[in-house]
Amino acid sequence: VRSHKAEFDRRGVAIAIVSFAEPAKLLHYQEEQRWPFTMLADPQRVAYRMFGLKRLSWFHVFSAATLKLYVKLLREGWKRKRDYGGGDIYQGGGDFLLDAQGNILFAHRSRDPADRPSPEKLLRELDRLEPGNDAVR
Amino acid sequence: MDKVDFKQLPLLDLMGNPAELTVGLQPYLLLIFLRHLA
Repeated sequence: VRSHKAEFDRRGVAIAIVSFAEPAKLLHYQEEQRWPFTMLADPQRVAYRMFGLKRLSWFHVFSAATLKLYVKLLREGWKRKRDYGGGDIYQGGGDFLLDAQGNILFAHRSRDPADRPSPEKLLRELDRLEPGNDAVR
Repeated sequence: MDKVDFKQLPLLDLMGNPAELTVGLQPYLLLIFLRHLA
């Protein structure tokens, strides 16, 4: 998403990242990563539950798709520089597109760590939205 | 869940203070929930 930020900006999309890490850990993480987005903490995972994001089963966390993802990241030069104490590797993530009234226009709840919508997919969903159209779910 | 009340989301900023999620002047908000930090 970071590499496509300009495309999201052009479509009028604010981006916020939510983590279940404690704020102090997230602050440390952000000082190193410098993501150009609002970073928010949900250490009690209340928002995670509200959005229906569950813990993943072990066979989804350690799936072939996950292994493939990490091989791809390593090839792209990703290095795990530091242990941020992120904790629960089983917690699922997700991506949600909302309008200013809070209506959920698009929802993706990850089935495994590799299961995230691509930025291109998110941009296509945005381009499908037109004022007056029913929400896309 | 079809709709979210932004004021009901108990999110914290990086200093640990309550942070109300708003779309601001933008028409859309992309909310990305991370897995663990890596």
